[in-house]
Amino acid sequence: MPIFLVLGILNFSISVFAATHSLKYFYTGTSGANGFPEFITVGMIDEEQFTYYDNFIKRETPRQSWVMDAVDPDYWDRNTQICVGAEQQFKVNVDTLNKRFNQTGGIHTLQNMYGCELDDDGTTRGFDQYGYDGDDYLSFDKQTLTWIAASQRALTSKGIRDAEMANNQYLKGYYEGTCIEWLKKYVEYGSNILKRKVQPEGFLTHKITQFGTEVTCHVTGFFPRAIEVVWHNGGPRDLDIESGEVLPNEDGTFQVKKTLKLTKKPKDIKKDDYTCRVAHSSLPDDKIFRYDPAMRNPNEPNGNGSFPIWIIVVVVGILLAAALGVGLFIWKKKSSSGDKNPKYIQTSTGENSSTGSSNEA
Amino acid sequence: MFSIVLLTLLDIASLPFTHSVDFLEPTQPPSIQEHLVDIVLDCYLVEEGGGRMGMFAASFTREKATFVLRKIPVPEDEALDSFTEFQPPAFDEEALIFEVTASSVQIPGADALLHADCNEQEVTCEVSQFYPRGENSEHEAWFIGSLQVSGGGISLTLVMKTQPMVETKDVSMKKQKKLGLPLSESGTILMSVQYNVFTQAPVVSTTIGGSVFLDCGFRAAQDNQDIFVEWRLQYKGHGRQIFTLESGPNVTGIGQAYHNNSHMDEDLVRTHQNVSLSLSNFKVADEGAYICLVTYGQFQAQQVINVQVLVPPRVQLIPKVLQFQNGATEKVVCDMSSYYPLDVQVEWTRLSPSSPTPEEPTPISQFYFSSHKQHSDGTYSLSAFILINQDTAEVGTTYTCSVSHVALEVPTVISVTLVSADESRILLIFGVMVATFIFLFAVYQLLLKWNTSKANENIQIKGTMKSIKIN
Repeated sequence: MPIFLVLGILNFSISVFAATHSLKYFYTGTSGANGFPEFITVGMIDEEQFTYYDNFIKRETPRQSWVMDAVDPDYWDRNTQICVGAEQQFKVNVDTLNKRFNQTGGIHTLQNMYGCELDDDGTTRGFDQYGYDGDDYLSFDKQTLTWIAASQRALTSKGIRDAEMANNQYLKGYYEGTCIEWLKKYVEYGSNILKRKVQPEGFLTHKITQFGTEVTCHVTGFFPRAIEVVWHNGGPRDLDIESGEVLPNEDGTFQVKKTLKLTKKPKDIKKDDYTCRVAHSSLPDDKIFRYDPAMRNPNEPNGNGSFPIWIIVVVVGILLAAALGVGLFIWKKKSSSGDKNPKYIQTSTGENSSTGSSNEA
Repeated sequence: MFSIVLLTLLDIASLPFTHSVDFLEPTQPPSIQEHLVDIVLDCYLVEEGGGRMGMFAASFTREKATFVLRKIPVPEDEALDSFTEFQPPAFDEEALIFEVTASSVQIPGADALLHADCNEQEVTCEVSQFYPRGENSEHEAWFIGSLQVSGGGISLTLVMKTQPMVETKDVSMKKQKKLGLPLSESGTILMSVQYNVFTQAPVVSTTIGGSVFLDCGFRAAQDNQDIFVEWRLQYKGHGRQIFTLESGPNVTGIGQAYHNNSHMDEDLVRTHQNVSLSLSNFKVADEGAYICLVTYGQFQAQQVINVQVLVPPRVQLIPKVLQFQNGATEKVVCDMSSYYPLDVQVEWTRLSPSSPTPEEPTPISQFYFSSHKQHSDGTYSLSAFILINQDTAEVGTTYTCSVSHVALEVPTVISVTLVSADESRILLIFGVMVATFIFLFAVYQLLLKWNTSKANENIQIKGTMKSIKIN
């Protein structure tokens, strides 16, 4: 287990910082959701949205200022036309799949996600896939020019698309050529924004729970999105960590929280035993945050309310009983040492002195 | 002693859950003791046609059809008297009857189709026409049939072709109205199975760190063809290869595992036409639809095996002892931890001692949830809590949290009873006092004993001294 964990972390660090650029489009066709657009497209560059279209506005619109410089004046008209065409297709497709799955009402969605990726070393990938009602339906394999059916129900659609060789050839060409060309162009024009580096801020908070202590490493304000936040305790043991998602901040940067769950109370934890390490492409060296169990935390609750009552009860009980006991003892001792009690002489002859004392009590 | 009684908790442990992982034996070759039967199934002819590029279809039709698997061998011991030979209905050009022979291609587990009715299972049967690449014969048409027994039973993908029809000038030869295909004398479309890819277990589940066996096999009419097996995982928009194997008369098959813990018994591929895959040390990220795609010579067909990860929630109630402590309201938390998948149902009920219906607890509609928490292994935790008010809550009321999850066979039910704070405090104090007194009494006894023996010693010494001392 420990070995897997270490390998996992290494793997993760490599994949996080290998620079890959991507261009992705998400099409969503919906039926039965009143007031919600029936057709939406979203364009993403490096996981950042840059275009938007829906059937209400009927216009492909930019979502990043740099896009205006990257494209020719006809770009928006052209892409609007593409979206209008896709909107008609999706209307029919959603209707077809409603029938295919014997559905007569309710809300249904058809999603298409397509795009391409370009690694720094020049490797490219392309993908084009469909999902229906949240489940994978079909995906394109550009090596074999065939479609992969993710359910047996998709076999008929697969059969038809597999036979459309001209379309499949066109798609392969698009993903290996056109898509990559546009991706390079977008990355070039958007580099000020897309390649910017913003360093993260980080802080630790802790709270005492029924089970022990939860220490949260909160890292925020970083860009790009890829980050590594890891809790360490110097050992190979797998730490019980609750991992939050990387969430967007309003200013375009990101934040993430990783919570360490310890079964110990803060007083049983040594200072600097646990450290939170943050690795990000904006940082020349990893940032380390050391957990000090004595740190002040405004959110810290008052602990378990019954605890002080227990202490008071026990202490008072002991004191009372001790006073009584001591009093009795002193009184006994006084009375025994005061005048020579003949009983003592009597019992001194016998072996079992305890019988004598119990009689006396 | 009382303090110990007070600390005894109403802790109903969550029920242990055993995961069933079905390890299926490779399909056995047909035994000698067998019988031939006709299997008649209600089916649909599904057509997606007339679509432009990038469309699933501009038109979609689904028409009722009858699917007859002729002369299928089943074990002798089956109650065969009840199964009769297929009797075609009166000749009808509009009827869609697929009369399918599988003489040269085995259909393992076909008897499951026969018994589906008795086992209250349904058989989904869909047939659609397809146009194989490089096959452009006008004399034969190709169909793909997908047969699935509900409830995770056998699933078959059959590649079928119509009987080649000799072109005759006979104008009286009848054709099926819709498909335009020649009909047999009895009014059926005659087809033969050419290829079959099947699985005995299209839905399997496992736990984190567990193992799964993905059953997949094939049968073909032809021999000695090249085999290409590809296992893919497709889930939530992500697809990847898991395992590939190429094997054939001229190819030595060496499996290529893209997933660390995948294993295929490569000897079985050629000898038993078994391409099943084992996966061990299963993780949440391995969940999804495993596609078994088998290409054999000119044929290609697939099966999909859905693998789910199931981890039941650990449920506990906090606090263990419920009493009003720090004010007018008290929070009772039902904590569900480390479960998978995400969906979990919680019900809260209350049963007060003065309830007129003691066997029927009252549901509590107003309760609250924490946000979901996700752990590094992919499991989730969630807590649901109620707030009880000192003014309205009755001492002796039992609060029950019932948790349902797909990984739990029965809901986990856990309760806590409200005890009076004063009562519990008095009992507590009393208990502590009694315990302290018992303890101190024992100490006192010891001291007394020590004192007495000391006194005796003194007397003895005194006695000795007496003899020395001049008294």
